[in-house]
Amino acid sequence: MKGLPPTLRKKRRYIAFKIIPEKKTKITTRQIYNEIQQTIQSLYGEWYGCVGLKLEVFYEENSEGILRCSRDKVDATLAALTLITEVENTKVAIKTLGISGTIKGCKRFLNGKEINTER
Amino acid sequence: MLKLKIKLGSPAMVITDEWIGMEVEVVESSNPCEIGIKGVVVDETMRTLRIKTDRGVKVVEKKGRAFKVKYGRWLLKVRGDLIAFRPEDRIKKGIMLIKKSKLAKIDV
Amino acid sequence: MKIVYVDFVRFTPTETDLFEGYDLIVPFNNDANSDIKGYLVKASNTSELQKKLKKAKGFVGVMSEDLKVNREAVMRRKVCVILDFEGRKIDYTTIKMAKDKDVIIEVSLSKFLRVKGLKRAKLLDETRLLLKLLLKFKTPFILTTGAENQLEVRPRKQLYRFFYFLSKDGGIDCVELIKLAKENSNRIFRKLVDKKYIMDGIEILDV
Repeated sequence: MKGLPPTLRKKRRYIAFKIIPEKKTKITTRQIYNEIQQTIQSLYGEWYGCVGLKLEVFYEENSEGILRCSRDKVDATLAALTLITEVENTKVAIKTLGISGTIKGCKRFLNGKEINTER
Repeated sequence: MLKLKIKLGSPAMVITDEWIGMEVEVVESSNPCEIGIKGVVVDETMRTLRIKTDRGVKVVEKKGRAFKVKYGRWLLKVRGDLIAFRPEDRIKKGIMLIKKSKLAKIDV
Repeated sequence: MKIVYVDFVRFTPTETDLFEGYDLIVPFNNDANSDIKGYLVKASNTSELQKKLKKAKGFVGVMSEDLKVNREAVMRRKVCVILDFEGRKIDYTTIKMAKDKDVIIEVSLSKFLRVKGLKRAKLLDETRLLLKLLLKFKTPFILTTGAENQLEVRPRKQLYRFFYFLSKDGGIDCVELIKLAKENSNRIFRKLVDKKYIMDGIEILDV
């Protein structure tokens, strides 16, 4: 069966972000994903809560990552990221680095050159 | 009640002073033909200034314009809305405006 | 003209990359050692406010839970800002009066970070109403982080995008809101830093 034409596919946006923890605590992928998911759930509830969230990559060593969401919910996702204050009892602040249409385009916002040349 | 001491001759006092005889130039206006009118103020009403230029006397409205003015040793840019009162009322209303505005520099 | 961004915080700021995008950070804390620009006045009743205002000088900000204190503060000549936190109460008349008296009303982000659940929902709703009134009366206001520690600071882009989304969702003219916020930020910057500034509408071009 043929796939959907590009006009009917779900439009996506990728958000590059960085976590700044209180004291150099390491934050795992699982923890950050759960926290973002919970914040969105509690902020928007069941009615608007589905933003097509997926954590594409997360580098635990320098706590940077790329998040996927649907195009018309970008603002909602960014607001939720702004409101996150703690992950698993560690106080954190999240800084969004940039938004892009592809993962490849999003990687230029991230620091650390080894990561960029990984693929 | 604390009393404000406004130093005489400070740049803020321009809105309380007499404008007849001053050298002015229109620098901001919604009407592009008015920009650049330059000369000496010869008469003044509540809403307009009469400016004597090289090409005759021009009447310019005060509201919504900005004027470049030589006042004392300063060259000032003054928004016309601040002087849009009758000339005889301006000393009273101008001081009120200065007192009302926060962090205005009155002792330069 | 270049737009300048001002932020108000409640601690002595040190370098972090969370401060990205701001040109001037005004700390409000009465710490004698630091080179501070803001003067913080905390009061719980009107007589306390009047007593504390006698000593105050410079860029004075008032922080109070009481509605009466906020209303009194707006009428005082020395007060420049009504500072924001989660318990602040402010009403229709105060906002209308603030326009007349040229007092800036702060709308901060960090109050949303300190509460959760139903309280936050109520706070968001209150803030939408506040923004609506600020636009209606054209009262001067400023969007700030209002942070009390290093981790409550957010970069400028994030802050403005948050308020853009908040107002858009509440059916407020979001474009106008951001435009006015930028204008006010510019005005405060000029008041505090620019030497050529005399008062609103008068500036020195040349000596």
